[in-house]
Amino acid sequence: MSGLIRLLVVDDHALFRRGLVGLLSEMPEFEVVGEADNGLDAVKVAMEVRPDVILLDVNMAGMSGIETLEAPRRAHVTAHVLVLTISQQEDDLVAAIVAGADGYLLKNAEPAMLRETIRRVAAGEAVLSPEMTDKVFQALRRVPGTRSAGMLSSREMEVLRCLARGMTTAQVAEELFISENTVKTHVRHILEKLDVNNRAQAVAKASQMGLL
Amino acid sequence: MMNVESGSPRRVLIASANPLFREGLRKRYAARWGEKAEIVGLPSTIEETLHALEELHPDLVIVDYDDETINREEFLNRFVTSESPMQVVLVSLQTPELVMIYDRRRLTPAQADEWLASLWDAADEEP
Repeated sequence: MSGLIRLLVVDDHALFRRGLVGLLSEMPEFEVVGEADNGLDAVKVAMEVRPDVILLDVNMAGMSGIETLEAPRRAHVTAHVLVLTISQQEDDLVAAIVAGADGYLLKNAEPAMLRETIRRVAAGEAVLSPEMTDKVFQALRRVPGTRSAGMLSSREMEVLRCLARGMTTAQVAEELFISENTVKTHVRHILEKLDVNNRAQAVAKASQMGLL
Repeated sequence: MMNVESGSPRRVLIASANPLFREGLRKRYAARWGEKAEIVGLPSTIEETLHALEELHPDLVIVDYDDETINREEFLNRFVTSESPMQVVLVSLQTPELVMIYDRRRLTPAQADEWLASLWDAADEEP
């Protein structure tokens, strides 16, 4: 991605939202192109300003979290969605991933972590708060699945296990002694074979299928 | 935002366990208030907050309570038992409840008389 990363901030807590906008506005790689305090307005603004990333609180009054998350998708808004929430509930996390969130970050994150997460989500990566990774595994291990290990190649399985550990493309490349482009190719094949849209969904579905 | 009594910048404390909230408010209001206010502290726990109240004597305290790291009751108990003429904005990111604002002032009897009179004036002006 070249140029500024265009952001839409959606949160019904005005003090938090305006503070966050102030914070993001001082980060030179970002441009806050819109704000909204509910899901319906978020869709309208997103269709108008076409952001690269939507920072979305899923615990707003009115629309449920998942409705809020799904609304931009239904309106064919192609922006990446980073859920920014106080919720550490496993159910909220899993529901957000299934509904198509590209990232899930807790509001207690440091500004530097938010900055890095936005960059990664804008680049197409799926990112979870480190505190939430265990909850994904806990949730998915309880889902009965069928094993179909032959679906992915042994190398793809290695890459998938790295993704499940929360590694970035660069970290996977270093771990497996392959180039980042090769990692990206494997990831693309994994997404295609599992019929999912992003890495978090791939990890979730693979766990559900008993591959991990 | 100037301190009316001293004419010096008002001293502001922002207490929250949430770095995005602390830093966000600091940047937003520091820019808006300019030299009229000084952010004197950004405590992140109840212990740091209570210590800062004693040491820094803020005029305005913005408290984001979560009842884990910053306990609402513990903060309010200290606020009530102290005599500092400060303003408090009590907010929580975890609940949709309204923000509470406490505005405690120290007035002479004459000032209190003016304040009470102005309250009635304000009521008369309401449509």
